[in-house]
Amino acid sequence: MSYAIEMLGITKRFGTLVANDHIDFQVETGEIHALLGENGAGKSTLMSILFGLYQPDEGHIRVRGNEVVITDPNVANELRIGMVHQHFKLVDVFTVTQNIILGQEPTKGGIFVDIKAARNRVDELSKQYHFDVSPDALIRDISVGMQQRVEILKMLYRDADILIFDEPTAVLTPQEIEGLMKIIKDFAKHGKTIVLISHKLDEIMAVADRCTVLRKGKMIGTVDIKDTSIEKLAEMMVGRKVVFTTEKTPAQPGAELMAVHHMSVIEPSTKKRVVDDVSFNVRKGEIVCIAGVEGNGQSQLVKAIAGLLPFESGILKILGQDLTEKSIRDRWEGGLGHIPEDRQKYGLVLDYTLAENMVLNQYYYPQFSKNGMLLDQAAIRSYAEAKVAKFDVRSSNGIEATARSMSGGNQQKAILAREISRDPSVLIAVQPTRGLDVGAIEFIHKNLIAHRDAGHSVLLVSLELDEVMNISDRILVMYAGRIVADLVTSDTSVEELGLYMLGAKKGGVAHE
Amino acid sequence: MNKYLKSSLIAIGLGFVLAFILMLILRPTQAFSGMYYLTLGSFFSRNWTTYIGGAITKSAPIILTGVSVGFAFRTGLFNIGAAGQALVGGFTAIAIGVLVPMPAPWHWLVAVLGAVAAGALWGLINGYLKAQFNVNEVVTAIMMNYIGAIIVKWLIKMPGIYESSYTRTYRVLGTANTPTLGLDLLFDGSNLDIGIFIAVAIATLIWFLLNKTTLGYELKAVGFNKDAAQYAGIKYKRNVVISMAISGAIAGLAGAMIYLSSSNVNMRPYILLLPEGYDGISVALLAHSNPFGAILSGLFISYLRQGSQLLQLTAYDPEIAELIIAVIIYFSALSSILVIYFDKWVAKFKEVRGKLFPPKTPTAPKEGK
Repeated sequence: MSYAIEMLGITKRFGTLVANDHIDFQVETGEIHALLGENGAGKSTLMSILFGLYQPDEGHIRVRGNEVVITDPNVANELRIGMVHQHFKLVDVFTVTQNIILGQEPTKGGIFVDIKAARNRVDELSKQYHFDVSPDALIRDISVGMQQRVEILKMLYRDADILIFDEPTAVLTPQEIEGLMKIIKDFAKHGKTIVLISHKLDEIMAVADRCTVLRKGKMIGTVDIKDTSIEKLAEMMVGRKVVFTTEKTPAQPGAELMAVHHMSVIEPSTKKRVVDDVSFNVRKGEIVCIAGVEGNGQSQLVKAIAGLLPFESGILKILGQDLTEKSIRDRWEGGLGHIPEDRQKYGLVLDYTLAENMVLNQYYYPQFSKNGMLLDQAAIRSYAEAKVAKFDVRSSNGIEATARSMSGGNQQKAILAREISRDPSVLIAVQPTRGLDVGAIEFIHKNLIAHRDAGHSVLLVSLELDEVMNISDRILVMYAGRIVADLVTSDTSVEELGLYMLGAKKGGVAHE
Repeated sequence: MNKYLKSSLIAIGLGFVLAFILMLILRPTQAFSGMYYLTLGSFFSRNWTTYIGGAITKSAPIILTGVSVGFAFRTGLFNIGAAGQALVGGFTAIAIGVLVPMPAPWHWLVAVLGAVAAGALWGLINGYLKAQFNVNEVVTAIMMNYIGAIIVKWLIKMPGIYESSYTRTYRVLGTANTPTLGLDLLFDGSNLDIGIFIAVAIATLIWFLLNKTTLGYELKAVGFNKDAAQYAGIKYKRNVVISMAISGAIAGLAGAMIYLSSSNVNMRPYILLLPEGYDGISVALLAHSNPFGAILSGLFISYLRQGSQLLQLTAYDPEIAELIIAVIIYFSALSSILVIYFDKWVAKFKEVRGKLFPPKTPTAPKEGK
């Protein structure tokens, strides 16, 4: 058996932090090898070393059996190692072809860019792997999934045959994920070696051949996927047993807490009606989930309820009070809580400290200010201290750390802590677990259920079918701006839900 | 040490090094004495009270415009309009000071408040246009600067204000002069008045507003992240208008401090914009938008200008001082990078020193206390 990559005894320290502690990482030629670990386990550091972005303090690297020193990414390119980063590195206003050849432009006579030859080569590659990417499209006009394919084409164009994918599915819709998984398998069939960095266990189980698990910078082990299970991988990753089917008692819905009547919303950027005559309610003691494929109006529905977009028509009532025309602050005070979809854009002021962020929508309360004019810093601090401890929000510098310096999981926990602590009757949570590792997901789910059990309600918007099925008591399926189904979770199968989400059932919209 | 203070000090140090090199090139024999006059000359001069008093007097307006610009920066806005706001403020102060006789303390106070109101109005218009129509505040502020300048140019010839034989405004009545409380006697030969105390008080007030009040929390939240502020229920538009109005009011006050001073300052019709307004940008940048920092950087820049007057004794042009200020501002804009390099150099220096002079045995560093 030959190894494509061997990283032996790799140690990397940042100050006192040991990001990688004597890690042995061996990838066989032609396999799909997953690299699994929680946020901060050292996956990215290890791959950055392989890609030449960092130099290891100890250990050595062999590529295709030869000892190498990878001083920078150009060396990695020459070794035909390619990497698709989590955040794409594309120029928005360039075409697909221009982006792919950037830095390696083929020329005529050394002066003129031979865009035609490049275009044909890109087109050829795209067809060979059924990518369906138009070489002439502008990056800004194509979907995130397509942009990722451009990144992959970039590696192929440079003849890479060791391909590293860094959390490739974090930004994709379920359909796009399926497409990507097919592409990855196809690559392996063509003899390419794949390293898949991920913390999504189901994906690893679906495509990988072997899996190496890291935890807190240490190597836990490498296993064959066919000999393991999701539960075993999760335990290796987190270091304890993880509960996947969240424990919860059946819902006992009570009085209506929130009601939406005949609501329509226009998306300002496209001027299209993206929420079309939607009516539903949320009752005490239940978790209602709005399920659907991304882009069917869920985001705008929630933004309109939260007051960030205007209603075109319709009525919003919380605890019987008509809040349709009321300000955002009136909605907060009227019993609404909101964990927003984009936690860095809406949920936090990244340059404020954790303490300041904990009172983002309550700083003016009598409890935190004198006469509504002067901030009571001591009260804010002790409040933040208590909530941060209760919800186990971690940062480098306690409540004085800026939100910017915190990891994504802890940022999300901070928002959760803030919103749940306000004790809202209706807590809206939009994709609250997106991009988080299993430990954090479990924590957030538990707290949402606890909020329900405390006599409140939760309106959850999720794209993850597992989450929808595990957490919710009732499912509203959104398709093309309308609610096409109102289902009781315990009586619904995943397959049925999928059909509704694709618009194949009810409403008579044909499968795409 | 506070990392902002550190980076500002590094910037100042580099500014002087560069100035010294330049002086060496221009007039090698005079470089050392030139540097002396520029940096320490004012202190050790026989007329030091005049020079130091003058530097402090002139620092008050630029501390105020510095606080004004820095405050706007902290709330996410670039108030490039301080020059125009100070001008309309200053003109209003003159108009009240010349035309409306009143008893002593009240006259001055009314003139100051008039200037503050005029400056606030000029800033508020920028804020309103930004909030309501999303027009970039830099563009509107530049426009408002010229509108202000042209209106002042027009109104300055009103009967009673303009002394046409001297092509300048009349001096404000003595009752409208900023009180000196004897400071002008303490600093003999200068016109030092309480302007500096007002500047320090306003800087303190703004620091308090930004850091200790709910309004400051809102203004900063809008400045850092307007989406998150909106999500939290903070009224973005209202805050932009308030912020620009406050910033304009402080700049207007700066204008009053210039023209109500008992030093011989008159407004002339060919004046377009007050340089003190643009100095505010330099002061704020060097102070990293910190109000207390603005006090220090305003005093520093003003002192350097005073030194540049003495510099002429050594046959250098006083523009050298402006050049140093410009270099310092550039360096302080690059401050975050500079600090990193500085720390690296220090580490390297220590490493090299350690190699050259290895500590063999526990040395006795503190000999001869």
